[in-house]
Amino acid sequence: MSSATAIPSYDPALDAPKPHHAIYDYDSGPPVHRGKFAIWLFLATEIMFFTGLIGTYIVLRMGSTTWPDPADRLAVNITAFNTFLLIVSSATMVKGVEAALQGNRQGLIRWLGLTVLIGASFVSIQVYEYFELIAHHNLPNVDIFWSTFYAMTGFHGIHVTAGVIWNLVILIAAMRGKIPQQKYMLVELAGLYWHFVDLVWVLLFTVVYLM
Amino acid sequence: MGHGKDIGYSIQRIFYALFALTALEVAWGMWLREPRWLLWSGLILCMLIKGILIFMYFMHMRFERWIVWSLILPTPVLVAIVLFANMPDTVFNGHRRDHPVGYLIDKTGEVVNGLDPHHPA
Repeated sequence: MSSATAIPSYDPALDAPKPHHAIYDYDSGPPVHRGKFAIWLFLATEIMFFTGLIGTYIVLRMGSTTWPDPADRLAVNITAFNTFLLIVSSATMVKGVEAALQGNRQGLIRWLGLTVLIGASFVSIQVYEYFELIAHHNLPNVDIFWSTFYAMTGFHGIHVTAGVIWNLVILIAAMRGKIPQQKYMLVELAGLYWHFVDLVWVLLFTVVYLM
Repeated sequence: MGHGKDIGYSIQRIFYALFALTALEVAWGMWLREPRWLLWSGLILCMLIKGILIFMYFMHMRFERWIVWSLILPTPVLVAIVLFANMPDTVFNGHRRDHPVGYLIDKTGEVVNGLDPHHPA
């Protein structure tokens, strides 16, 4: 092979940013990570979504002369256990974010895996609860108690399922070594959504199951 | 986030607080059914403290800058608007639903069947 066809060595200066005027040397984005800005904007819309559901429930309940005691209709014990599960999963999620922040890949995989497992358990128990209720003919069209119950807990369940899938995607990426320390924000964004879902459940559990 | 390589607070302490508050809330809700005002006050207090703990620590809002707060602060106002805009529809207009939940009513408003085993017609 002749030396005339040899590939010239790479010159990094070719890809280096061009010198520019200082007036353009600023970041036009918000003074926070763009992903965090976006997720909080999204969560603000989610708050309004759940406000619509919970607000409707409160208005309907206050507008009724009587309302069934939730303890007579719902399995509070099993749901209390589910609530504990979700709180534990929030703690494991925080540990996962901490591990990502420290560049601890094994820790991230362990804690995120645990979060996915606990989240999936929550959804499974909720599905079991639904099957039990439906087996006893407690369908959404029976009365307004059940229609509001299924609307609120159903939409929350969908959100938990989405959170489990999101965390699972991050977990797979972490297992493939695609979440280095400098990309810890990917884990934190998933964590913010997960904690939001937990926060909504804290409200729902109190309002729907205990009050 | 206003912290470095660690999360900036004790995860264990927040977790134990949430755990204890949930246990207290469940016990309160299951064994103290009456009087209702006491039941509801205790439950709402536990719920609010738990919500604030999750919001401030797990969601890092205690460490966030003004820009994130500005995204979330309008929502309580909107929540209040939604609630108070809808409330008069059922609460203050004198047309509260006067049949127990679980009853089937016909087009004239007459109860035709009690579907709720706890409130048979």
